[in-house]
Amino acid sequence: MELVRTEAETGLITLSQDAPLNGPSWLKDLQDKARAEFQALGLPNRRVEEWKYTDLKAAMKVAFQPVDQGDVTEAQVNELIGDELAGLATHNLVFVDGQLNEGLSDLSIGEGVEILSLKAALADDVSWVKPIGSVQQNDRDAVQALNLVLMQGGAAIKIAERKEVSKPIHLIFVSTASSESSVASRLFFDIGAAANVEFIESHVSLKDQASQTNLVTEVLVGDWAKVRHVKFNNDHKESFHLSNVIGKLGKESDYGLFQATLDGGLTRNQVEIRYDGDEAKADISGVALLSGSSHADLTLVMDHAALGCESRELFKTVLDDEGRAVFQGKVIVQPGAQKTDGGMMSKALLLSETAEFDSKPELEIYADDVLCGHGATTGQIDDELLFYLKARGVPDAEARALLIQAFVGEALELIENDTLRDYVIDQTLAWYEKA
Amino acid sequence: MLEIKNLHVEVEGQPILNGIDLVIPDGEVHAIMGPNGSGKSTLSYVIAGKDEYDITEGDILYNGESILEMDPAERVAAGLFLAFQYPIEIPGVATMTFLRTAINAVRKEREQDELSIPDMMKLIQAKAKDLGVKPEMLKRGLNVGFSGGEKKRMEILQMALLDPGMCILDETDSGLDIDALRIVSEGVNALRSETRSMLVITHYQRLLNYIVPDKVHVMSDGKIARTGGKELALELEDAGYAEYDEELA
Repeated sequence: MELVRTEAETGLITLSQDAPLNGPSWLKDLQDKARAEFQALGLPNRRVEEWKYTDLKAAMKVAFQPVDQGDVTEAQVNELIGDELAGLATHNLVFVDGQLNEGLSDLSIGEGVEILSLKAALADDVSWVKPIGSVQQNDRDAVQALNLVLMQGGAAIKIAERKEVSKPIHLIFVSTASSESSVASRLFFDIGAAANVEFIESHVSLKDQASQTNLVTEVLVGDWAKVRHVKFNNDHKESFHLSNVIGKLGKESDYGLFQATLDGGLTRNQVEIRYDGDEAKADISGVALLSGSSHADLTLVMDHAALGCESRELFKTVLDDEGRAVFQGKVIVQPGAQKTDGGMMSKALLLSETAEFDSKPELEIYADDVLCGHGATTGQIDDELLFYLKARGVPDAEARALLIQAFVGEALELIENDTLRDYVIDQTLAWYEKA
Repeated sequence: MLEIKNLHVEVEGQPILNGIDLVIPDGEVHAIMGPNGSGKSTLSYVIAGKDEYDITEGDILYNGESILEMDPAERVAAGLFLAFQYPIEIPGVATMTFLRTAINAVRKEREQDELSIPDMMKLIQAKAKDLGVKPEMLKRGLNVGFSGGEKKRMEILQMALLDPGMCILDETDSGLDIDALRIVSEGVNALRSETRSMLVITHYQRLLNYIVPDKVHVMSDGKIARTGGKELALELEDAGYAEYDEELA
C-alpha cells in the first residue's frame, strides 16, 4: 500500500536525502539506517503509543528549511538571554542557527575539558565521539532518526576523570533567521569518572521568528560523576521544539536534569535514561507553564538495568487558556535490578476550563525487591486558600500568583544553583503577571 | 462603626441568618455568643466577604458605606479584619513573603507609601516579638507545622500589622490552652483603642474573662435573641444555651 505522506513529511524526506555533516563511515551507516527508518515511520502520530497525545504529524503542516549561520554579536546574545543569566559566571557556548559559533564561545575552559564543534569532531573522526547515535539503541523514534541525518552542527564535550568544572557551561542556542527556519543539532557529553559539571541550556530567537528545532543530547555519565543540567525554553508560539535527552549512567553517578518550559508552540521534551552501573541516581524534574494554545509534552523512560539505583521525578504544570500538557513517565525495572527505588510525581494546576492535562505514568517491573511509586494529580486553585489570602488584603490576582508560585515552588526548589533558581522563579513570576 | 441592618443570608437556598441587627460603635468591643449552628461563623464570613453566601435582604455598613459590593481584599483595605477560627495552612508561601505582600497591598490601597524591605522586616519582627511569634515561624510556609496556639498568634500578628478599624475574632479561643489563651488575649487587648472596634465570637464565656466586652449579644436561629452587658456572659455560663436552642429546650 502506498503511504500517504503529508507535505511536511515529503519536505523532511527531501531534506534528508543529503546529510549536512560529513562523517566517518560508522556515522554514514547509522544515517542510512535512520533515513530508511524515517521513510518507513513518517512523522509520529496519535496511533503511535508514545505519541498518543502529541500528534506531530497533524500539527506540523510544513517542514521549515534550515538556514546558513547568521550574524549575531555577543552584546545581542547577552541581551537575548537577559541580564540575570548574562551576569551569571559561566563558560558560554553559543550555537547560532544550530552551529557552534567559535568566535562567541569560550572553548578553552582549561585542562581536562575538551570542546569540539560536532562538525570538526565528525570530520576528524575523533575516537571518543564514536558513541554518537548509539548511546542507547532506539530504532523506533522517528524524531531521533531525523536528527541523526539532518543535524547541521552542535558540540562534543569531554570532561576528564575527576575534573571539577568550576563554572557552569551555558549552552545558548540562538536563532537569527528573519523568517521561519529549522534547526537540527546534537550535543554529545562524555563525562569522565568522578567528574563534576553543570550545564545550563537556553534557546532564544533574535528576530522573534518561529522555528522547528530538533535537538538531541547524548550523555555518558561516568562512574561517580555528578552532572547537573537545567534547560530553559521560552519559544515562539508557532515554534516546534523537539528535544531528546538520552543518557547512560555509570556506577554511583548522580545525574540531574531540570527542564522549564514557558509557553511556546509545540514542545516535546523526551528523556531516556538507562541505569548501567549500580547505585546510580537521577532526578529528572521540571515545570511547565502554558497559556494560549501552547502544547508541551514530557515523555520519560527511566530504564533500571543495575542494582540499587534511584530515580526521582517531580513535575509541576500550570495550564491557562487552551494550554495542554502531556506527561508520560515510564519506569522500567529490568530483571535483576533489585533494590531499585523509583518515585515519580506529576501535578497539574488548571486555571481555565479549556486547559487539558494528559498523564500516563507506567511501571514495568521485572524484579521483586523494588520500591516504586507514581502519582498524578490535577486540580484548580483552592477557593479556601484564595479566600484566606484575600481576607488579608491580598488582591485576587496577586493571591492567585502567590498560590501558583507555591504550587510550582516545590519543583523549583530542586534547582541547586541559587542564581539560576532565582532566574527561573523570576521568569515564572513574569508568566503569572502576563497570564 | 459597623452597622448590620436586617441581614438575611442563605446558603444553597437554606436560610442561615434571619434578620440580624447590630451596631458596633468605634472603640467598643462586642461579643456574640450562641449555641453551635446559630450562625455565628456565617456572620463573620459574610462580613469578610466570602462568596458562597447569598445575601437576600439587608445591608452591612462600615463607616457609613455599604461593603456588600466590595471584594474581600477591598474590605481589608477599608479596615475590616477577620481572624479565622481555623487558620489555613499554605505550603510553599513563606510567611514573611506573605506578610510583606499583604501589608504592601493594603498600604497601596489606602494610598500609603509601600514600606521598604528593611522597614518592613523591622516592623514585622517587632510585632512578632510582642506576640511571642518565633523568628523561625516567619521563615516557614504560612501556618505549616504551626501548633494551634501558634496559628492563633499568627492571626493576631496579621491583625496588628494590617492596622484594622474593625476586628472580628471568630472563636479565637478554640483549641487554646490557658497559657496560649492568655498570650493571645493580651495581644488583642493591646490593640484595643478608642478608634478600633471589635466583634468577639465565642461559644464559651472563658475568653471574655480576658477580653472584657462592652456588650454581649446572644445569637440563636440566625437572629440576635438578647443583648446585655458583660454580666450576660456569666449568666450564660451558668444557665447554658437551653433557653435559646430549640433542640436543647
